[in-house]
Formats: sequence, C-alpha cells, structure tokens
Amino acid sequence: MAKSTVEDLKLELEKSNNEIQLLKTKYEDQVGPLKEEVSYLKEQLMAQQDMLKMAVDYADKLGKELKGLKKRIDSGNFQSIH
Amino acid sequence: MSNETKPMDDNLVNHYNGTHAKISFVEGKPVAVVEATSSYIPIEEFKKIFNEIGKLVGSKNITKLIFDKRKLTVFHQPSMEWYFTEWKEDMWNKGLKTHRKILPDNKVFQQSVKIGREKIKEENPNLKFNQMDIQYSDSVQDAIDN
Repeated sequence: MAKSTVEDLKLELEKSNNEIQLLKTKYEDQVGPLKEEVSYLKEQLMAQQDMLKMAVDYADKLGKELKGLKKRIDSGNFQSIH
Repeated sequence: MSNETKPMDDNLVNHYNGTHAKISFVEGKPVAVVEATSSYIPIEEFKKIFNEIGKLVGSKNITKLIFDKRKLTVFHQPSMEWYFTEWKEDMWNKGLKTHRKILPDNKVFQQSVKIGREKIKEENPNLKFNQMDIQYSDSVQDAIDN
C-alpha cells in the first residue's frame, strides 16, 4: 500500500514537472517575440532621437554660420565671389 | 517625392521577404530592388537584408540597386555608416556601382539622410562610394530607367 502511494506521488510529481515545463515553454514562446519587439522599438526611439539631434545640430551650425556672415557684411569686411 | 501611380513596364521578381524589408530583382535586367516595408529597419535586420542582396549581386551580376525608402520615417546613422563604409565598398568590388534611392515625402528624414551622408563622406574621403553613381528617383520605374 505504502509502495503504491509513493509510486502515485512520483507519478504526480512527474506530471507536475511536465506541466511546469510546458507552461515555461509557452511563456517563452509568447514573451520572446514581445521582447524582440520592445528591443526594436527601443532602438527605433533612440534612432529617432539621434536623427532629430543631428537635424537640430545642423540647424544650429547653419544659424552660427549665418550670424558670422552677417557680422562680416555689417563690418564691411566681405567680398562677394561674384 | 513618391510617385507610383503609373503601372510598371518592368516585371519585379520577388527574391526575399524580411520582417522589415523585401528584396526583388527586375526580370531580364541587372537591377535589384530593396523596399522598406516598415517605418524603421533595426540594424540587425538591415545587415541581414543587405547581406542577402550581396549574395544576389554575386549570383545575378547586379549592377544597379534601387533602395525604396518611402515607408521609412526613422533614419539610423550607425546602419548607414556600415552601409556606406563596408557594404557599398564590398559591392563596388563585385560590380555594383549604380545606386538609386527613393525617399519618403518627409523633410526631416530627407535632410537627416543628407547630413548623415555628408558626415560619413567627410570622415571617409577615400571611400569608393564617392565615385559611385548615386541619384534620387521618384518611382521604381523611374529608377530602373534612369
């Protein structure tokens, strides 16, 4: 009788372990693509930020160059290439 | 910038479908087309796609590549650096010297591409891409023809 109970318990334990493994696999299957998507979105946001920063830096640079040009024109120290 | 209302004269043959872009080639011509199918191509996928094009360039003696970026809204400078300094150099040696680009109708994107390309050019004055025939087109057919 005791032997049979132990066997039953072992069987139950094995069943439970199999169920845990199955759930784990299901979880990995569902979370894997989600994790990948989040990582892509993160990369996209960072790229967007860099892209805008690059555009702003360029606009700043142009602004400074224009200011420099205006100063030269105002001071009379400007020679047109035409 | 985007104009694809007219039916195409040439036939595109599908070669590879990636998660963010697809590759095709023009039947009877040494021309390949890569089309972005999402607003952004992650660098890992970008390299995968272009390595795939590299194989096509070798097997079909492709001499012109059309990059249709109309779906893109985000530009990734590290991807572009790899594209210009490594991939295009390799492709030059394989005979791919003509590049056509179709840009999205997005001024920030267009300007960023320009700034990014100038930056790479400044930092790498001796690269072959400075000698390549690179032009912008309005449509895939226009890019095939010109």
